Amino acid sequence: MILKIVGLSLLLAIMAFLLRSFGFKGAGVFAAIAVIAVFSAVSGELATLSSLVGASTLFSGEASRYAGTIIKLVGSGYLFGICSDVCRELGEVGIANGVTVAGRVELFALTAPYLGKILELGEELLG
Amino acid sequence: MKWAVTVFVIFAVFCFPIVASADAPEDFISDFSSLIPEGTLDGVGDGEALAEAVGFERILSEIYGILAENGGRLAAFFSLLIGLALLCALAGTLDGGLAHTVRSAVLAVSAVAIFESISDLVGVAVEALSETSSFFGGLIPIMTAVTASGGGVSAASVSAAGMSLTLGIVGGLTDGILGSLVSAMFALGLISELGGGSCAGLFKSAKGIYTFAVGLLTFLLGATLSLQTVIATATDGMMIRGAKYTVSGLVPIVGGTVSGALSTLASGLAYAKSFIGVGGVAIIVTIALAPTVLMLAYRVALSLAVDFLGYLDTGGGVKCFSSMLGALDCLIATYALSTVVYIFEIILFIKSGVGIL
Repeated sequence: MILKIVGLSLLLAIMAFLLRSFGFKGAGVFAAIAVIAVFSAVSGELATLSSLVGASTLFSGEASRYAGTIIKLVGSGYLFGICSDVCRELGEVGIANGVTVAGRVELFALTAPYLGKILELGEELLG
Repeated sequence: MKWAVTVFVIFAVFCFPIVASADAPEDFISDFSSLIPEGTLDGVGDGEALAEAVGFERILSEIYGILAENGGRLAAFFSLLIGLALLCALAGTLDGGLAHTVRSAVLAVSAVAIFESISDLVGVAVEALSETSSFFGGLIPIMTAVTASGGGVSAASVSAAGMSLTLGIVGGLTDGILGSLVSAMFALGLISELGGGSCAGLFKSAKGIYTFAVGLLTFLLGATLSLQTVIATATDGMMIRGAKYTVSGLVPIVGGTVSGALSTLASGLAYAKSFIGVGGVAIIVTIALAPTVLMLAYRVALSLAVDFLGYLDTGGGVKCFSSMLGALDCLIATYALSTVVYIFEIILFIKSGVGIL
């Protein structure tokens, strides 16, 4: 799998370089598609990582739920970050910023139950 | 002759209740035995068994038992901390616009996970202190009666007043302040995660204030009670010994017999005093041992996790875990100090001696 990803990345990079060299105007779009293609190749590995963490002996019982949420948070952070970078690469700064804001909202939605729990516990302890 | 009769009457007034209650030491021990909470000093009926029960080996075996019983829970907690530390480090690899948001969110989830694992420790500590207070409350009348039976009437009244005051103050602090203070520390630790800050400094101050207050109280109580007890014991001893000596000289047969009976009784009371005192300390230690060992084990795990996060160079994680460590430290310090006050009172009781000896 590692060799496949490295080979694909190098191939796409060479193709993008050649397209730029021949003055192809859609080289940016090609680069964006290339990033998505490489990321799709590792998405299977990410799912394996997530299930590995979930099944890890480090997180037993209730703790695996927290681990799952953290993996989702970090994964979402990476996904939105890559998406935002791709948009920025294509010169679409406005869309890139929009993606970042959407990422923040998504991250907040994932964390909201825990933030609510923190406030609830704090209120319970202080009350 | 008139003064000799007066001395005899004083002696009789002082000593008659003592001699009349000649079987008191066994009664006191029996009263004490009925007070022993289940599962603390089971099967300890005499001094030899008690000496064995308070031995180093037994304490070590108790600690081992507690660790073995809670081994699974502690291992799960430590694994959780290491896992969370690794995930915090993973979140730290992220850069770009969302990095800070992801790190804050990960720390908030981690704080909830840690708190859920250690939240019951507050309840365990408060419950153990309440059990100790209740046991100490039952011990006060027995200790006072033993001291009074040994001729230390003034010492008994002084120590009873002191012990009741201690019980009132420490009990009040436990019920009214300890639980709320530590809970507030944990709550602040959790809520500070929302702002990405750390409450470690605040916890240190709160711990300092509580330990200073209880420490000052212990010092004042200890100093005044020690002085009062020493004076009262000396006064009681002087009066009884003076009367004993005079009567032994003036009333040859009766005086000698009473004096002998008093010496026998004094030995019995000294034994009862030591048995009750040492047994009392042993029971308080046994009650306090399980929560203390558990809290210390959790503290060690958290401390190791903080070091591990420092090694992984995860600043935010260190702050988050340190906040929880600070709150736990606060709980351990306040709990230990409150328990030590009771032990100190009992040691004072043991050291005050028997007036008629």
